[in-house]
Amino acid sequence: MGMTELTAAGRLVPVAIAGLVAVVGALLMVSRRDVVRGALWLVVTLIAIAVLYVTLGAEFLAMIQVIVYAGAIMVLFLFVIVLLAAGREPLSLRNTGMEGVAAVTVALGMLLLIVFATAAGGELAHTPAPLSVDGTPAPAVPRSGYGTPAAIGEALFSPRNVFTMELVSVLLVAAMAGVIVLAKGLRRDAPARPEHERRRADAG
Amino acid sequence: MPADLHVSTETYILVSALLFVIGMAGFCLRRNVLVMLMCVELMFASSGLVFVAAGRDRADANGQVYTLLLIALAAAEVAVGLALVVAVFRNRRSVDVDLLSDLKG
Repeated sequence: MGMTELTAAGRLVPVAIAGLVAVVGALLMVSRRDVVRGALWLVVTLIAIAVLYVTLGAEFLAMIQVIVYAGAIMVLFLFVIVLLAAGREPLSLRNTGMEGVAAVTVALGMLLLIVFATAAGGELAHTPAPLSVDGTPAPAVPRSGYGTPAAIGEALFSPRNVFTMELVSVLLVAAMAGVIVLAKGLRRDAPARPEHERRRADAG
Repeated sequence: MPADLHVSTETYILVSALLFVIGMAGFCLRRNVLVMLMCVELMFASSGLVFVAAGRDRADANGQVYTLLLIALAAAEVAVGLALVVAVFRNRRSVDVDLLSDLKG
């Protein structure tokens, strides 16, 4: 691996660039007037996070992030934005008054808390490594091939995680059913307004 | 690969905290439901970053597994959320949350 010869500073450079791009993209996403542009800035942020995954040795997850997150989910977003023609709205903050001030205060307080906790604690790296699945102490440094699909699949289908994975698949089915109900409306209830309009359009 | 050469986990947690706080502030302050949902996505993605960073810290592939499950959760959440937005937009012709105050006491 070519990465092995890099110095600590050399490793920090891509992380710093990707982190900066992610934060700037997030700020631009939140502050854009045009929702479509905001969505595209969110794509930039998600791809920067995928780069951070690569620097963490999680190559497979980086690919998943780009394909599913920056690809599929954001296409769904853009589709709905264009469908609703809600792309061009004035940049309007909520009339929350004091609640808005409180929200920003809580957000900044939380940021400070996390920063101080990670800076002052610093013990994260010194905690003893937990035992891996087969009971032997996990190696202190990830072995190579730690982010491959094979390694992740092995962990995903281990007895420890397989039940969680099944729960997530149940959740996905439930979400799918919910979306279909929301999109089509329940037949036995009063039909949603668009059906009236459609019927009227057919009659007229 | 000696461990000292790794970028510290705290760096990743700092980036993730920044992203999470930006998403949180945007969620509280913006009025457009679509932007609010995008802020939720940002918070999901930033928490995934913490999972992967902590997983590398412990040399444990489970951190990546949880991020994988988190992406599935985010996909389910965004599908339901967008379906709700479309259903509300059909009735109200608006994506402004300040207009959706019928249940406000």
